[in-house]
Amino acid sequence: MTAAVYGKTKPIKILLVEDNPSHAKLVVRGLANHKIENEITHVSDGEQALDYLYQRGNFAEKTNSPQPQLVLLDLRLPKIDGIEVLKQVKSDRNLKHIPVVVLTTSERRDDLAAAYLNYANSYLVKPTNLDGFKELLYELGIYWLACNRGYH
Amino acid sequence: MAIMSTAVLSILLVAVMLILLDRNIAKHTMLEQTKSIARIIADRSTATLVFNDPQSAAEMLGALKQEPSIVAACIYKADYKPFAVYKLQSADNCPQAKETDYHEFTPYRLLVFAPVILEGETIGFLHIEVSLDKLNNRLIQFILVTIGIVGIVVILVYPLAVQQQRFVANPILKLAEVADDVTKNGNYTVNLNYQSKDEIGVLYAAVNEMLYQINEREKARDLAEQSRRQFEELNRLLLASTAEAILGLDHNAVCTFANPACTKMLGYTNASDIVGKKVSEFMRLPDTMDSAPEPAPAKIYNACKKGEKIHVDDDFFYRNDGSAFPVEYWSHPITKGNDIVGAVVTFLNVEARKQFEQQREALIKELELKNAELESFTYTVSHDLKSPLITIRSFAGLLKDDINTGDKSAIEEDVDEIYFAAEKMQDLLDDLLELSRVGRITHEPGEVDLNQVVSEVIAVLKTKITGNNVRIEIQDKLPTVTGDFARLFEVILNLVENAIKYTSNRTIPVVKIRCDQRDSEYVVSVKDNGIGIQQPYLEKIFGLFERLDVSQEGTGIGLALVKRIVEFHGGRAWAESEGLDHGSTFYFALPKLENSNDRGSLWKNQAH
Repeated sequence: MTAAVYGKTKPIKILLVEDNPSHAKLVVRGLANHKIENEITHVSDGEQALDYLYQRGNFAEKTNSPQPQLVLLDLRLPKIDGIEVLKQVKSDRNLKHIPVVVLTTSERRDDLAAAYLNYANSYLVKPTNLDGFKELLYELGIYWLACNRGYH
Repeated sequence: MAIMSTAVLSILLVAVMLILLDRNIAKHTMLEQTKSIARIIADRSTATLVFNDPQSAAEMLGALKQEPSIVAACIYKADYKPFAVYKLQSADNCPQAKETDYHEFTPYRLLVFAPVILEGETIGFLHIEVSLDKLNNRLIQFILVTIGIVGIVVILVYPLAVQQQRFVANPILKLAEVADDVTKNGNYTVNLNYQSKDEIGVLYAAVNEMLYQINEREKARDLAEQSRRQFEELNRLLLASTAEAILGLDHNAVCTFANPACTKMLGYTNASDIVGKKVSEFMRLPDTMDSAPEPAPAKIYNACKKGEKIHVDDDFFYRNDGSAFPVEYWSHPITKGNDIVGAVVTFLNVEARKQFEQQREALIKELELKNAELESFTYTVSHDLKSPLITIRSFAGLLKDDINTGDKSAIEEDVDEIYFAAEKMQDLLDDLLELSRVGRITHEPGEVDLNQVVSEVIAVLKTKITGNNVRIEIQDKLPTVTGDFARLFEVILNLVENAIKYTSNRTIPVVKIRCDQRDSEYVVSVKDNGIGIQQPYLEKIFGLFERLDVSQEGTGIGLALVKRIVEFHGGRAWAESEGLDHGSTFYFALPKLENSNDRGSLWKNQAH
């Protein structure tokens, strides 16, 4: 599957790992008009997420797959699930500095525990209404894209 | 009577001694007197002999009348002819003269000869004969006196003896009788009745006391013996009827005791087959077991030697035939003072318990698995139902915004999103309903002809098959299995539909359906030459709502359904693939049922 690339020039690069295209669209739209410029790459399963981060497979062309400054990660994913992606990212010395924010529908304690035990930087539950979604994405943008100083 | 005999005998003995002594003395005195008379007469008779005067000699002899005991006297000349004779009527004639001094006692007479000597020359002889009547009378008197004394003694002593018999001998004889009775018949209950304070009384009391004590002791011993026997019997019964095997060992781990349960469990007939043997001898390890770290017999031997208490519940014992059985056993040391004298080993065959435990563990595991499955199912369902809900609500919000701005294409997009999400939700709910139905098959399993199932599947998929130019290859003759027709139809339909779906990009899509018979199961396979599956995902694809490719339509329920139906039939489902672009093969195995009785339990075993 080809990655959909959104955003403007010199923006902050975000990797969105989301198997539900509607949800992906919501995230993209929510961040599109954000005052902080961002560029979102959307992949729909764990395998593609890792391929992107390791610049291999469909993302072997390095100019098309720059290292993101933020990963938005769903947990329930086809092929390789979110926790496994998290595990691999956080155990790779070249990737572990990238903030990974889990964005999921799950409020299950097991998932929370698994995420934090694997060094997730944040855990967000998708709100079930638009306002909530909008607000969450706005706050997310402010905090992770502006307040937070990443190691680039 | 002994006393009396002794008395009489003593008197007689003394009397005889006295009589003999007295008679000797009397004889001696008589002899000396007679000799001296003879010497006097011999001296006085010299003249008569020299002068040959027998008259004077006779007169001289006549003087002997004075001594009445002298019954005869005779003087001889040198030529031995009698010269002068004196005799009483009772006397004999003169005997033959003797040359020398001579005397002789006959029963009634004392004969004394003496030579008549004048100036050293024997001129004649003298003979005097003395009657012993006096002496003999005295003897008779003595004897009579003795008899008299004896008589008196007897008269005096007899009542004493009788009395003594009554007071001493009788009780003692009675005592002897009792002793005899006691020895011969072991009768200790005799009570000697003798009320007296004398020695016999004391003796009787002592004997009574002794007999009483012995009797008491005897009774106590009998009682002890009886209770010992009862105890032994009780012990024997207890040991014989206990289900636990009990094994007694000495300090060298040599068997000293084995109860019936022990004997039986170890595969022997009699306790004597074990007793006297070492643990390692009667509990032989099979040859293949030599390398075991520390088999039970060695462990018991060590514990026995060291006097250790051990409890093991996950080991094996070995029977006479070398077969093993799981045991729980205890070995307790037996100590005497500070010494270890052996051990007692109790054990139980825990085969049934172990089996039960295994079954229980298996059930628990299964239950845990089911629980986890259920949890993950609920999670999946709630997640997958929540997702379209988020979409619907969020896009409804966006729709409102877009209506305000009047962006028509955006409005259309929002409506589409809402529409698709609702549709997706509908699909999910339908699938869930379908899945839940699998667990509620109510009709009995029956004979299902797989040929029929497959041909119906092909008929249903006819359009898709021809549309995609798929070549379907079916094994000539498929077997008949036991199960639910509609469900097995669903399974094969899902597998074939998947195969067609993922071979659609091939120029000649091929789907092969076959069934292999193995020992205890039928293995049905659906093989395609499609896109294949990577190794890590072969198991994951059977999960509920799992999809490898989100671009493909479907909720991801198909394989979950297949798995559930097959497992409900007591079988299993799995997939194999050589990797991407190498096609994949989906299998499901159904158990062969030995008889129709097993059919009834087919669903139950799998009831969810």
